[in-house]
Amino acid sequence: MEEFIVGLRLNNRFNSLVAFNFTLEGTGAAVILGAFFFNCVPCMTAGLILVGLGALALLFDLGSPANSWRSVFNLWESWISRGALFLAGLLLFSLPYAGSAGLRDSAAAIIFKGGGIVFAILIMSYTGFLLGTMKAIPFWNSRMLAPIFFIQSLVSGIFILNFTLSIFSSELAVNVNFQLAEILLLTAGSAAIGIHLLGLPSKSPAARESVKRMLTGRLRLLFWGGGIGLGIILPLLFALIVQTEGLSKSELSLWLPLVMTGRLAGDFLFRNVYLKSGIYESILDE
Amino acid sequence: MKRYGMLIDLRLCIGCNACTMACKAEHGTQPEVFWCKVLEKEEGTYPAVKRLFVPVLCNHCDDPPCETVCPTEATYKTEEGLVLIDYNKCMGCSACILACPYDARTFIEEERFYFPDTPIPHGVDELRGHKGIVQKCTFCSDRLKRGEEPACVEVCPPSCRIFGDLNDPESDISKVLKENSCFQMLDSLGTKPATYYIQFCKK
Repeated sequence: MEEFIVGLRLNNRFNSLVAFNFTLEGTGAAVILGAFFFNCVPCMTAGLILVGLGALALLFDLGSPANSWRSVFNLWESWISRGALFLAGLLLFSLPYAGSAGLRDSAAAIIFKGGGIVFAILIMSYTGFLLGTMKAIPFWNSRMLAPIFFIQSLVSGIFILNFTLSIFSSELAVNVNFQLAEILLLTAGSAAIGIHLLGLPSKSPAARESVKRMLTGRLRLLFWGGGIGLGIILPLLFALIVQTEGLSKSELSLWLPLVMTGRLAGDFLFRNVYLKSGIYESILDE
Repeated sequence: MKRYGMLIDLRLCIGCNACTMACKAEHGTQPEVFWCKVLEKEEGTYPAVKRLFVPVLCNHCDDPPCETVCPTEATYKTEEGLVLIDYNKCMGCSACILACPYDARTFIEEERFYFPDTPIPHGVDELRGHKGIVQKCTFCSDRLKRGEEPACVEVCPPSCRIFGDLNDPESDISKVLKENSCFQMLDSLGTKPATYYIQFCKK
């Protein structure tokens, strides 16, 4: 039951289904991005499946999905409209590329690669822009959200790319230093999260309350255990071990899928916690 | 061109919630949905405690963030400054709920009734059949077309609400705005709300 009191309010609309959408769409787009670079069709298929599942999650969240075809009508101002356009663009360039060997070998391939890469990058970042422009919720209203979400998607995507390549194109996987990329990105991502959170308490009471809720409040377990532990520390440790000491093929084939699953779960939990920590500013000064 | 606005005098509001009920009766909003509501704020420490009442509703902003984020253009602004929703276009993404700083919007997951098969006893059908969409205060746009004031303004016992044309310097609202020190909620966010408040008296 609603409380009719002047004060801070929690976001109760963007929930786990939206977090699923953010995670799967962003990760899928990152896998597709990598698939274009490596010319790997199974990777692209994996990416398309993830993007498709993400889009389905969002459709389930909509109140009236029958009207979703209208979602591209406000391209000038709405990041959701733009996101729908980016998704359409990504499918337009990646589906034919994945489906036709002739196209991949033709001169037109470069156009599909270029377009696909651009739309993949846009999908990985637009959810950060969407939340970042919400002035009503100070915790989200930050320029840091787009790079944070972009890096989250890229790291998750690299793990899936690494795993898929190791199955379908192992000779190629061996020659690519995924671990160095993961170390650099995870470090950059952690720095971005730190910059975002450190800058918040001075912003407003709602922002302070959001940070408190996430770091020491009800969401602390999900944030520290899931978002940070599974999402950042576990993959970072794995990448450091592989980079410095190396793992045998059998060890890698055991640990890579486990760490990848942990990383994906951590990515989802991180975005879920970010959504659940959104608190509206009070309409009157306290 | 008219620009509708509302002024609420917080010094006069007694928290009777007549406006809440009038709005509900006018539009047939379902249980737990309040387009207009009165929030409470407690101030002071015992024994000098007082309870203040703050009526809130859609502010019909000049630069509405809900219109900006709406992907389907279901939320639109009329020439008179009313921010309205076309329920036939809304896809229920709720981005507008997140964009609105004033808690003015409600997502309707399913149709519910106070009495079996009818929104309210008087058979108001304005919102019947609309679910999976977002609703909010319309400044009683249908009443305005008939030359009447919004229901919450008409019913208010202490007459703490004044409604009118902000672009008309001779309107009651313009005159009261000129004579009193007023504020708008969260005006730092740049929404340019058309709802003004006269502050509580400070002792």
